[in-house]
Amino acid sequence: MYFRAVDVQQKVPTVSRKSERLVNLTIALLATKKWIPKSQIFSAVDGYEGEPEAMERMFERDKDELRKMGIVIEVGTFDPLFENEVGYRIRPDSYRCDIESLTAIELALISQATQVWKGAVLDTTALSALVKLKSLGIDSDVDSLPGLAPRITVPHDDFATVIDAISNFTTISFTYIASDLGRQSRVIEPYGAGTKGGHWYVAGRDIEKNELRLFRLDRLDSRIELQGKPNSYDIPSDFSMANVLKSPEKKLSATLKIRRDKAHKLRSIGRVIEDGDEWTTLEYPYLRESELLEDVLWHLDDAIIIEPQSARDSIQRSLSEIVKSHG
Amino acid sequence: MAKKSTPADKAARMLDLVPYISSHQGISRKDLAADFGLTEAELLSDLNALWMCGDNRFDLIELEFESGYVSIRNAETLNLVRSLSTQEIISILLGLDLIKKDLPEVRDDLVQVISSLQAKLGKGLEHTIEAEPAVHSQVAIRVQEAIAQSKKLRINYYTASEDRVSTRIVTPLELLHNEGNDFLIAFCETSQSQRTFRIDRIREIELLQEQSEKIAPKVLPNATINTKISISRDFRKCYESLGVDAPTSDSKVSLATFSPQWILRTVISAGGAMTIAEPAEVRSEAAYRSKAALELYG
Repeated sequence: MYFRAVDVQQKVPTVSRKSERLVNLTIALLATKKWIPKSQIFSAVDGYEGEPEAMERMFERDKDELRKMGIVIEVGTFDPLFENEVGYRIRPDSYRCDIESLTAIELALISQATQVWKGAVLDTTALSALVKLKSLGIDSDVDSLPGLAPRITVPHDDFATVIDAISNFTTISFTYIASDLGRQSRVIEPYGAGTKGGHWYVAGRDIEKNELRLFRLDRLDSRIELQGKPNSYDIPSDFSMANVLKSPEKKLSATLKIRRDKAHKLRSIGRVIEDGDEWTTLEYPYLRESELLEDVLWHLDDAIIIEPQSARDSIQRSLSEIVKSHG
Repeated sequence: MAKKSTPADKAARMLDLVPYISSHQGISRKDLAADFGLTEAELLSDLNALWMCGDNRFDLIELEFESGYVSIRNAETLNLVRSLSTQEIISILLGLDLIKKDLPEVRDDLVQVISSLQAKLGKGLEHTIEAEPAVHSQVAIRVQEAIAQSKKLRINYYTASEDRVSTRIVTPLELLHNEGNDFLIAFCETSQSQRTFRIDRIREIELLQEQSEKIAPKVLPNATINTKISISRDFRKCYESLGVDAPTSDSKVSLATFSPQWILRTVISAGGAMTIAEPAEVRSEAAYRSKAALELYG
């Protein structure tokens, strides 16, 4: 059976009042072609009651809520004769999703993409996106996808705030742990976010330094706070998070010797030059001397640096220091 | 499900229910609840609120759901799929980026499909995000298959702390996620004991046809070796490599671990920034191994 208006009268609406008012307001503003003034909204939309000031406040809050939901409410002058009375409306074209069609395989991929967030932040966000796209009335073709089980590194507790800030071009602030453990207050205009090597990063313009900087989210020593108003900056058109996170090419090359059946990690990265009975000689690419030393030291007395001489000198100094401090 | 739901969240769901039901007329309440990530009780509350809505000068939305199946009429105004919010777009873009980097090589054809889909949804935002999979999912998929079908696995595994690569036959027991890493708990036939393997260190994996016996995972004893380490420089880096939260001051760390080998290598690779104070055996091994390394330089 279909419920008629009479049935509705008998129901006692309490819990859902505000959400119903928001939906009714959306319907009223969507249905109109002309601007509707506040006075008409108050009389026509269910749920506006009480003193005029109370209704005014209610309406202001409702408008904010709808805007936060991404609904664009336009404000216009209703009639030149009544200049001080403005009217409101929602254009169906701005309300409606402008993606008109997706292929079955695209929808299946989007479905898989939402699975990534299962149980993590953005879980409900991803699901509501999927529900909207499924409403376009396309069948999904999951069968043609390979078996996939991608898992995302669990982001920082405030990751949703970061995404919010990037979406709305809002400045954020936080306390960052420097390499000497000093705590620094940072204010940045976030441009992008991403994961690499099991860590989450946010990149943006550091306002004080006026430079693009990259921050690892697990090095934050505070919550992430939104600062100031939305739309307070632009993301440069040439910005790419993929480029920011891309590992620089390892342009330097070292010659190493590693013991037979040992130093597996070095062997898998390097190129064998000479395979002897006890020692293998490798050509090993690296970016910074400090990283080369770390990689080689990990393998204790199963790997040594032959060249470059400067790294060979450094590693001997490090080893002497370790021998001395553990003596 | 204890989900925090504000009136605005509820209103957003009500708006999205209209086009969803319109394009899925007659969907069961159970399926509809699942598609929206709700319990059936939560869905009923949303539907009850929705059929009270409408432009009261005209008609109310006509909603039928008593029978257990849901259909809708007279909701033309709201029968519009809402545009995606930027947050929603970013959540999908990140998920797609992960899938793109995690596709098996034979499905390279999908890379182009995903890239154009990202551009279609992202409208420029696709450049603001970048995701890398936490685990090589092809390994995780093999493990899940083996567990589901009670099959054994042959794995080639790299143990970093012992600098060892080994091939083992294992009966997988469970897949666990802990502090950013995925682990396979398995009974290892080679060592005849329960072992923990980090998924990202499994270099090769093969599903065997051999049926495995049911083995219940045992709770392994906690970390047994107590160590004390002092740090003299490169503080943040040292704390991070030990997996300890960086304090504001103090340069001494007490740490319990399973593996003295891991502590030894972590300390030595710090190049002098860390010193093992306790236990004495590990401290003297650090001295011995670094002396042996130094002697190789002649």
